[in-house]
Amino acid sequence: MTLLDLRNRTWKRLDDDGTYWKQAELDAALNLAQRAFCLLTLSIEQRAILPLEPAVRFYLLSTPLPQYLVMLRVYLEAITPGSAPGGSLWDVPLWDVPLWDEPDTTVTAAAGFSKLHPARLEAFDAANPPWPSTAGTPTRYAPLGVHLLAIDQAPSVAQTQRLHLTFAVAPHALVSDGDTPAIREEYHPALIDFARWWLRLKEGGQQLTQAAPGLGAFLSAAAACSARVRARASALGYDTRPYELTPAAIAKLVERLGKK
Amino acid sequence: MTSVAQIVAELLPMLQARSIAELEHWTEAELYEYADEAAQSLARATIAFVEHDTSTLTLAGSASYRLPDRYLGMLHVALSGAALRRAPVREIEALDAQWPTASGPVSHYILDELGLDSFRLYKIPATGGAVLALVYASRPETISAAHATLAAPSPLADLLRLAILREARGREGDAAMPEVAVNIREFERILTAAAVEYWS
Repeated sequence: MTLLDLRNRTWKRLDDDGTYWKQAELDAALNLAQRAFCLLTLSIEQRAILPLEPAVRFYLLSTPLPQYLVMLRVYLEAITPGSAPGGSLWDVPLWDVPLWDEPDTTVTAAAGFSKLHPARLEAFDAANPPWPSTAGTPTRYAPLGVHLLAIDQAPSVAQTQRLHLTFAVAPHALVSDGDTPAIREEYHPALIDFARWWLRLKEGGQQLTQAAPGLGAFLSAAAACSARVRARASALGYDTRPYELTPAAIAKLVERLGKK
Repeated sequence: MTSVAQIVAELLPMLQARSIAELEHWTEAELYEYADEAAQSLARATIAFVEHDTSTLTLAGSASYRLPDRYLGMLHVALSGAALRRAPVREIEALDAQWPTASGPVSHYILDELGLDSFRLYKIPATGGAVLALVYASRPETISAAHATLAAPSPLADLLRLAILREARGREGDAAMPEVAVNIREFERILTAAAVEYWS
């Protein structure tokens, strides 16, 4: 569905045509629904390549990856720079995002590909206390908050190692009538369910009580998507799983909110 | 980076206003206070805001150093590229009875030596100028009309949106709608639980 479809369907559910709830309010509600859905399910993923710099162990991700939410998996690729023409170190595959407009250079072959394991900084400290100054091949990474990524070792030579990041992202904003939500289409009706409940907050009272099942329907759809993403994450060996919503908890919530 | 100003603007219709000037029961400053309180609460509940600070240099003969502004909790301390071990005072006492005056290579850092605003190194560094790298959980900068951004992705910043509406409608007065506050609180709990799971 496009934003226009979602908006019109939401208006119909509310028996309105833009007189009481303006277009901007509906768009804000639908965008909030999509963002909440993505936070609960981590269902939108992206990949990017992060070249490692000598002596740098902390990387700020918010600037090159403004939509970054949660790290899912990190692979390390060791590169052997060479003189063979034709190859490009920064030749980014279709689904990857170049981070800093890296210039092309020559490469002979990848020298190794390995998975980095998530750990806390305490584990870095325990395994190798001088890790902040140790050069070598990283084996662990630590996601720190919403912005930082730490690795336990840094290369001593530039352009010899890079990380392949797989991470969950926040969705793009729905702005134009033709924009479509980033979540899968079978979950688009859940956005309408959420918007019905959210917009009734403006009225409160009995109207809001009767809209509580809309929130329940949204959360149920998010729970179903989250379960699917969790199963997939286990199979893929992701390091982070989405939040688990149980049907019982959702039913209790709807019952509490629906009481008059 | 998320614009809190945009969040406030988008909430105005929910507060029966088309602009800040039309707000009848709240002031703009009040709405930003709600946002700021929510941001600070979020920072305490999660480890979403982490700083890597390398601005502190050791001073010869000085073991105590001030913790950074907006510090919440220490994750890692390194001196000249070597991680220091965290230890409480009682362990340092057991290790070295002369610890308050012991000088030499620094091996530990202590957070409970004096109050909540400083930390101490053991031993006292004999030379100065070494970089103390700190990685710590922090609070975001105070949110106000003059500083209306939050360094967080938009799904996380939506918790501020929920908090503003919840507090505005939960406040006693002619515009109170407690059922709205209850509804939002229930949904906010779910999103906060997810945030704690991802960033703690």
